[in-house]
Order: sequence, then C-alpha cells, then structure tokens
Amino acid sequence: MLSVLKRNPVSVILAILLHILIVAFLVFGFDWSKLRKPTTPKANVVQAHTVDAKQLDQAREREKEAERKKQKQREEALKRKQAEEKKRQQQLEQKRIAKEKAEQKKREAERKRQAQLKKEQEAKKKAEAKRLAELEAKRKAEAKRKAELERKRKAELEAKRKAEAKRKAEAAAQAERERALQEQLAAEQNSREIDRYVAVIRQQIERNWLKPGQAGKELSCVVQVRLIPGGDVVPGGVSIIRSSGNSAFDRSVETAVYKAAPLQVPSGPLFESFRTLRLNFKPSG
Amino acid sequence: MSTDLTITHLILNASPVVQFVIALLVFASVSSWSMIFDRMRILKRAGRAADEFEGRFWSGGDLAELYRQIERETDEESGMAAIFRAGFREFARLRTKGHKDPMAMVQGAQRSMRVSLNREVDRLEHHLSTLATIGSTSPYVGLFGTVWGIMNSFTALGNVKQATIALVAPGIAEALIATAIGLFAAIPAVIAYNRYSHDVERLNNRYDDFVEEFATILQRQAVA
Repeated sequence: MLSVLKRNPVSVILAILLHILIVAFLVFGFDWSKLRKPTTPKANVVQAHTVDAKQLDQAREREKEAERKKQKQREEALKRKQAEEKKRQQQLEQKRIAKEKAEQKKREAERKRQAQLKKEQEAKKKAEAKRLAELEAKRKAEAKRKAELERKRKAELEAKRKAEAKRKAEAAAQAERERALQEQLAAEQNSREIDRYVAVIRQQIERNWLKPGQAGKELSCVVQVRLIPGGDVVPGGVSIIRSSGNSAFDRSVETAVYKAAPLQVPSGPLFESFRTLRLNFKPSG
Repeated sequence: MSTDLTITHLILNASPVVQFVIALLVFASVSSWSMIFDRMRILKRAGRAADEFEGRFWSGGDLAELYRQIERETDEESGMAAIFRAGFREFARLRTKGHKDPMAMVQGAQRSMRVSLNREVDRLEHHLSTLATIGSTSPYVGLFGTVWGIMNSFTALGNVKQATIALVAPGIAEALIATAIGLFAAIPAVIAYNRYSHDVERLNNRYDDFVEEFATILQRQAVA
C-alpha cells in the first residue's frame, strides 16, 4: 500500500474517501426512517374576495327574489306532485280492487274445481270399495270351495287308507296263517325225520349193547348223550340221568353208546335237535 | 430495549479482539480500494499508450526516425514504446558493430525485446496478487472475529441463571459486523482481481504480437 501511496497518492485518497463515505452512510443512513418528516395535512384555504356593500345588497335582494320565486315554484311543484300522487294512489287502489276481484274469482273457481275433484275421488273410492268387497266375497267363496274340496279329498284319502290298512291286515293274517301252517308242516316233517334218526341211533346203539345177563325186563334207564356235528360223542358226554338202579346195566348202556360212535346224525339245521340227546333204554327183546 | 443497536455503538462496545479484526479489515479494504483505483488508472493508460503507439508505428514512417522521436519526447518509457526502444537500440548497436549474420542480429533484438516485455508485464501485474490475497482471506478474518465475539457472548451467557435472547443478541450482532466487513472488503477485491488479470492478459498478448511483428520487420531490414 505504501508503494501505491508513494507512486499514486490520488488512488489512496480516493479509497479513503470512499470508505468515509460508506461509513457515514452506514452510521447516519440508519436514521433515515426517523428523519422522514411527518406530512402535515393540508389546511383548506379560504378563497376570499373584496366586495362592494351596495352590490352585496343588490345581490342579496336578487337572491331573495330568486329564493321567493324558487319557493313558489317549489310549492307548485309540490302541489302538482301531490295531485299526481293522489291520482296514482287512486289508480293503484282501482288496480288493487280489480286484482282482488280477479283473485276472488280465481279462488272460487279453484274451490269449485277442488269440490269436483273431491266428488270424483269419493266416487272412485266407493267404486274401489265395492270392487274390493266383491273381490273379498269371491275370495271367500273360493276359499270355501277349496276347503270343501280339501275336506273331500281328505275323507277319500282316509277311506282309502283305511281300506288299505284292512287289506294289509288281512294279508298279514293270511300270511301268518300260511306261515303257521307251513311251520306246522315243517315241524311235523322235522319230528318225523327226527324220529326216524332217533330210531336209527337207537338201533345203532342197541347193536353194540351187550345186555347183562341177569337184567330183568323191568329195568330202564335214561341216558343223555352230547354230540358234535358228524355224530361223534363228546368225551365224557354220556351221563345217566335216571339210573335203572342196576349199575352194571347203566354201565353197559354207557359203553354201548361209546362203542356205537360215530352215531348217524342228520346234517344241517336238523342236527340242532341232536346236540343233546336223551334216550330211554329198556332191555326189550 | 434500552441498549442501542446502531453500528457505531456496536463497534465501540465490541471486545478488543473484534475491534482489532475490524480495524484490520478496514485497513485491508482501504488498501484494496487504493490498488483498485491505481490499477484502473495504470491499465487504462497502458491500453491508451499501446493504441497510440501502434498508430504511429504502422503509419509507415521511418523506424529510425520514430526511435529518435521516442528517445526525445519521453524520459520514462512504458508499454510498447519501451519494447520498441529496447529492440531497436539492440538492433542498431549490433549493426554498427559490423555483424554480418542477419539472424543473429534479429535474435539479439528479439531477446532484448522479450526482456523489456517481461518487465512491462510485471509492472502491470504489480499488486494484483495482493488484491487476490485480500479477496480470499478477508472473509476468513471476518469470520474469525465473529466466532470470537460469539464465543465471548456465550461465555457471558453461561454465568447467568436465566438465559434470555436479549442477553446474547447484542454480542452476536457486534460479532457479525466483523463478517460483514470481511465480505465488504473481499467482494470488490475479487471482482477487481478477475477483471484486471484479464486486462493484463490481453495487454500481454498485444505486446507479444508486437514483438513478433517488429522482429519480422527487423529481419527484413537486416537481410536487405
């Protein structure tokens, strides 16, 4: 900076001046808002002229005259206006009356129309009610008819059912009878068959029976034999149920049963009668 | 608020460090502006002188005559005239010494012109680096002042129980002034630096062109 100052002092002075300016601006510039003067409102200035007194009087007179004239005119105008107003009022009144009349007429017509409408509605309602009643009656009749039909149908059904039941019962009874008959027949046949087998078994046993010599004719014993299908005797399945009183006789019967095995028994359902077999033995012949 | 927050008041009440920083920055600003005005004048003058000299040079007069005129009229030469003088003097000296090689004569003249050109450019560039320094450092200096001031005002804040914004606001405001002044100094300096280095570059180019052209003319004369 010193070299600049030596060579070119103007620049340095310029720079310093610039800074002083800026500082001054900063320091005082901030008060600008305060410095701004409040603007006083401008007062209304009265425009005045000098006037001659006579002229003033004349002028006043003229003014008065003019004022009077004006007043008169105003009154006339007022009168005219009032008359007009009255007329207007009358017209308005007339108009109003006419309007009212028209209104009344209209109302009358409306009322008539309303009455007509009401009547029509009434008639309609009546017709409707009638129609409804008819409908109701029809419906009732229909219901009755239906109920009757139903009742009939039910009765028929009942009769049919009864007949059916009777028929069924009869059929059942018939079947029962037939079945009983059949059973009886079967039983008869079975018993015949069984008798036949029993006779065969008795013969088989008697063939193997060694009757003790001293056995009297009056002796008899009942023996029970338990069998398995095929005719074999269950071991230990022979027991004396009613002894003859003679043990030798009893034993000889037992032995004969064992010896005779296998016994000839029927196969199938008929065997059931031979599972336990009771046989009565007498030394007959 | 009872405290006065005008700038003057803030600066006068600031801590010594901040005040020192502000003074430093004001000095930097003043010197940078001095240099700006100085450079402005010098560069403008150099440009004008170059225009004038080129006009005279290309007007078609005798070069020896021109040289004599220039020797006569100015004592302290600058710009293109100085380059011309240095080149022509060297050329004349070599010719009177009886050199026969035209290339050597031209080269000698060119060399002395180059030296003169460098001196001229150096004269133009003088102080530009200072401008650049002010432009780049004064924001930091200002920031330093601000940070210092804010530190102080927060230290003061730590000593009271009830902290209010009114307690710190004046301190921060006064500290911020330092940054403001730093920026105020830096911005014109940077702008001027960019502007003037561009101007110097252009002048340098003009001088260069002149040196080449003059060398060509001298060569023609030497060969003839």
